[in-house]
Amino acid sequence: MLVTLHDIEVRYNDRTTLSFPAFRVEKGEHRLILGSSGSGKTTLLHVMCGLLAPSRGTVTWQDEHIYQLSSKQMDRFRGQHIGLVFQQNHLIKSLTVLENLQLAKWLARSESGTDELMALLERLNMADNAGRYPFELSQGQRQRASIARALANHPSLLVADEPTSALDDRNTEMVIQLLSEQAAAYGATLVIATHDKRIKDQFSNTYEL
Amino acid sequence: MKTFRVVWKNLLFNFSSSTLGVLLSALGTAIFCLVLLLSSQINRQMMMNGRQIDLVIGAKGSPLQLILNSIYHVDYPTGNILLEDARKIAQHPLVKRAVPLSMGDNYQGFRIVGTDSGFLALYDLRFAFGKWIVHDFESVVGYEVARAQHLHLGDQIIGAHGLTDSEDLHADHPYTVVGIMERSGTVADKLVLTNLSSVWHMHEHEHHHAQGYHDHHQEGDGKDQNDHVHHEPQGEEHTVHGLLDIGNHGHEITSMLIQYKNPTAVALFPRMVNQQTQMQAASPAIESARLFTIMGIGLDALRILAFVLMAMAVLSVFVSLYNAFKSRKYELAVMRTMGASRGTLFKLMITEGILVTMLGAVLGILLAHLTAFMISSNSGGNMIRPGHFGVSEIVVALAGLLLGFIAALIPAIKAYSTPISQTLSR
Repeated sequence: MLVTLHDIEVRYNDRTTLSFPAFRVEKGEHRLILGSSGSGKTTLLHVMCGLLAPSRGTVTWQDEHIYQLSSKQMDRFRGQHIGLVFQQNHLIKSLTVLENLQLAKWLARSESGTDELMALLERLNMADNAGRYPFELSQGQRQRASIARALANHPSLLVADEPTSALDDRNTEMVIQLLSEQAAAYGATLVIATHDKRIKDQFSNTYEL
Repeated sequence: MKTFRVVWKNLLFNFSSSTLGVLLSALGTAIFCLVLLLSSQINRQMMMNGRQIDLVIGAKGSPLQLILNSIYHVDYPTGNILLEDARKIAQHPLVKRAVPLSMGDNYQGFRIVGTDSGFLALYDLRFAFGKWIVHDFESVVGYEVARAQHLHLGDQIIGAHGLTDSEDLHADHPYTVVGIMERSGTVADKLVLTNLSSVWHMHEHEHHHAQGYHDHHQEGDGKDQNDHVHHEPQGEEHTVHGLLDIGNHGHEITSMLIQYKNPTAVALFPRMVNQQTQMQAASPAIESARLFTIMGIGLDALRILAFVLMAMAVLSVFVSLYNAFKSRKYELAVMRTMGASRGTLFKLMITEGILVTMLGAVLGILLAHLTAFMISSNSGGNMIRPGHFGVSEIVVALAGLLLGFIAALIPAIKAYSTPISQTLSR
């Protein structure tokens, strides 16, 4: 078992609470979290990735309770085990694509080999754009760059939050395929949170909120 | 991938706001540094030049003018005094050394001063080449004069009438360079020295005109004398005049520099001169202090301006970092998801602030020295050595570092404490 969320409840500042049914991710078993906007998909992802401490319940990664880690250990853990792809692709604007990947390596304190990162970009068909800045790229290219950045540290979990909300059918299919393929190639388990029902068919394990 | 590189790329990306921050800090630092440079060097210059001279005796008038003229060689003389009167003062038992000065001409803007070899002792001057004057119309030139005019021993130089003009030349009486002095760091570096009788010979004809109003005659006032036709002094002896031989011819000098035998003279001597003679005594220490107080007001104003500019720079760095923080909040949260700790973000913001003000400080220090160089080359540059780097520059650079830290502190704390989840879901 890679991740287990047990009895999670999150309380917001305005006193509303969200509680979630138990959620587990088996290693290598790609999962889809499906729910309408405001149903708490992003909250669940954040709790799972150590970005938001739940007010109740436990999150365990391979028998380790991650919210018992110190803040610094948690940051490190995140950098090394989790790759995040966001709805809008938040690359660092002042850095080139390759530098964004190097930054991910540096922040996670792992050794950075340019060859390896270039190979990763090559895989995503982005090698030609390695020296370009995010503002020089198209939306699709930026998404590929963020996927590459999320994979740069060989995470055990690749998490995508609404990766297809701004895309048409054809591109949606391509992105999902890309994520699945790359996750498989890098030995990462893929978790996608979305409200996009178009994706549903491609996943056998769906967790509905 | 280092902190520095990430920060540097970000500064380049936000070029205009980074440049503004750097420029503002540079201007503040430059003015601050220039004030320090000017005041310390002027101070030093004053110390050097007035060090061995306890009193200046000259014609009645402004004591400050007398000091400016006879110690710093910048202003016009207050008038002339009779050598005979001056020598009476010089024979007083409290006087250790008395050196007469007689001026009125210049060579390419450098003042020609008639004096005796006692002048060398007052300024601790040493010869690089040659020796002291033996005959009339010989001269010993200061280090800067020799360097600027490429003078060598045996060269002939032609003086011009007045302290600054170079039109009314004494072409008929060239001086022969018999000595070149070592650099002393004092005003003597920019003087041409000769003996008194050369100056008198040069102006022999004027004395005929001037007799009867000795005390009011202003040698330096070029306008009066520009009309004079310079004729070859007829039948004049060009023999050696020992200083002691002259003096009872009614000769005049501009002023006399006095060194006391012991400090008790300070209380008595100036008063004696002022009360018992037609001359005035002025103390270089007192007048220099007065001058520095007057200039100090200007320096203070500049210093305040520098503080204001520095404050503006800090504010600008703060505002640009703070704005950058607001627009980069998401980016910083993304960095957190990539494994950056709070400390890393704090370090990034602080480094950015420090880098901007440090760059500004270094640029400002260079700018200050460039300005000092321009000032010194434009205005003859008696006072300033632009190449001088001191401890104050290090202090200024450290101050830049500290200000950068202060400006970056609030944005850095904000970056440190931003909750990731909330920022990302926004």
